[in-house]
Amino acid sequence: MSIITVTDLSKSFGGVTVFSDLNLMLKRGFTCLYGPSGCGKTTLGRILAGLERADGGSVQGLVDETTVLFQEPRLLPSVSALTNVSCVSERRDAAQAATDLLAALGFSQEDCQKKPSELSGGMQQRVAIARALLYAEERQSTFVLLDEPFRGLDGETKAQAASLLKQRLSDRIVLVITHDEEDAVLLAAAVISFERCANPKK
Amino acid sequence: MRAKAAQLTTAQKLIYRTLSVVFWTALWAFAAAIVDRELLLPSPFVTLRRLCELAVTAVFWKATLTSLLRIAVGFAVGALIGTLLAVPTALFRPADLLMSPMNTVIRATPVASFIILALVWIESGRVPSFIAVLMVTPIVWNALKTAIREVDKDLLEMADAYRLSGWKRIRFLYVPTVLPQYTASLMTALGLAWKAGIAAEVLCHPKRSIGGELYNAKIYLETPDLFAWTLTVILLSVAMEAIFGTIMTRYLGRRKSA
Repeated sequence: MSIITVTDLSKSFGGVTVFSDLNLMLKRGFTCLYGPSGCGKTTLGRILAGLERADGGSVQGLVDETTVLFQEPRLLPSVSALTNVSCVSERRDAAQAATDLLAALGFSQEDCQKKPSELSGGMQQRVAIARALLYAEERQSTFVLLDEPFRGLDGETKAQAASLLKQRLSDRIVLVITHDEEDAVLLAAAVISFERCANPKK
Repeated sequence: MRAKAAQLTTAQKLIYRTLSVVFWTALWAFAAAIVDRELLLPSPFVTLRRLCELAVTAVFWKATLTSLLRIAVGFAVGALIGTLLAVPTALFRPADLLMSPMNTVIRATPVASFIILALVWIESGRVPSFIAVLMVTPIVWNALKTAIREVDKDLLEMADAYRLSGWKRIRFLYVPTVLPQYTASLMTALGLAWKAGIAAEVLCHPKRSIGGELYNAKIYLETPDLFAWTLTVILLSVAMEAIFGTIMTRYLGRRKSA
């Protein structure tokens, strides 16, 4: 399926409406959901990724295999960066595939063996990106949600990560949630502007 | 202060511990000298001499090894039951609601009541192990249950999203989170198993037991014997805690460096 169609979607928390009657269409390639913090972007992304239930409306075109890059790195604290990436794969060469991905994101062999507590915030984010990429490739995910993928990354590593994401995920439906318009430029993505309790404008 | 304590070398720790033992032994000797009545408070020297005399008798070793075995079995069974109960009660609310009254009753009931009841139910030689089980189970159960519930929800959601297998969840997520608390609970439970197990032996005085010897010492007003047997219990308890603590610390250390 190469299109995801969202129809009349609504969601509220504790009586506060996050969005209602939301309609949008996501096509193959990168789409940036852009808007200020707290406007419901992440909630929409979580519904599309199957992590939350909508109160009403429908989503068509979603399949089971989705990949999520969470807003926070969510790394396993007791294992190395390498294991954090390879643990999502059942492949025999998972460690090699994880090493290659981490190397493509600027990790040395030594960095790969470090635990999350020994890594900077930007490095942790890159480990999370590598993990999402390995999982998306192995599971052939048709939908990939990237929630604030460049959080904590500086200019150079951001460009490096964007390049790798474009290279590996261009044939999927990728929704990038961000509050930074520059991310859309980096990923050459279509932009959906999202405002509180309103239909997004394309 | 805490940072300074952490900086102590092994040799320094040994010196401080030795000094601490010397200080308290000196205080005991001083108090015994003031009281000057062996029946009320035997000196460390008298106690040690009596312990050495006992240590060359077969009765001492039979009693010590039998008590050690009884309490070790009780501790192991209690730890196993506590662990097995913690998992379902931490993960499934109905199981917790069903089992929690038993947990509360075991914790609230006086040990003496259990010992007397156990004497009615089972053979006296098995009562100390049974009591050790009752002491250890709720401690391990509650500590492990709490630790399992404290596993980071965000990481659990990540594990769901990336479909981590059950084994990977246990190995990478649950074990590292619960292990420090679990180990601490086992250490606490070990000390309590000794205390309660010996108390059970005193009340039901089975053949070949430290508790039985303590009871005899009390009957015959052999205070040096009482102190010597008590010292034996303390030494065994400390030795068991040290051995167990070393094993767990090495295991935790290996996990940290993995």
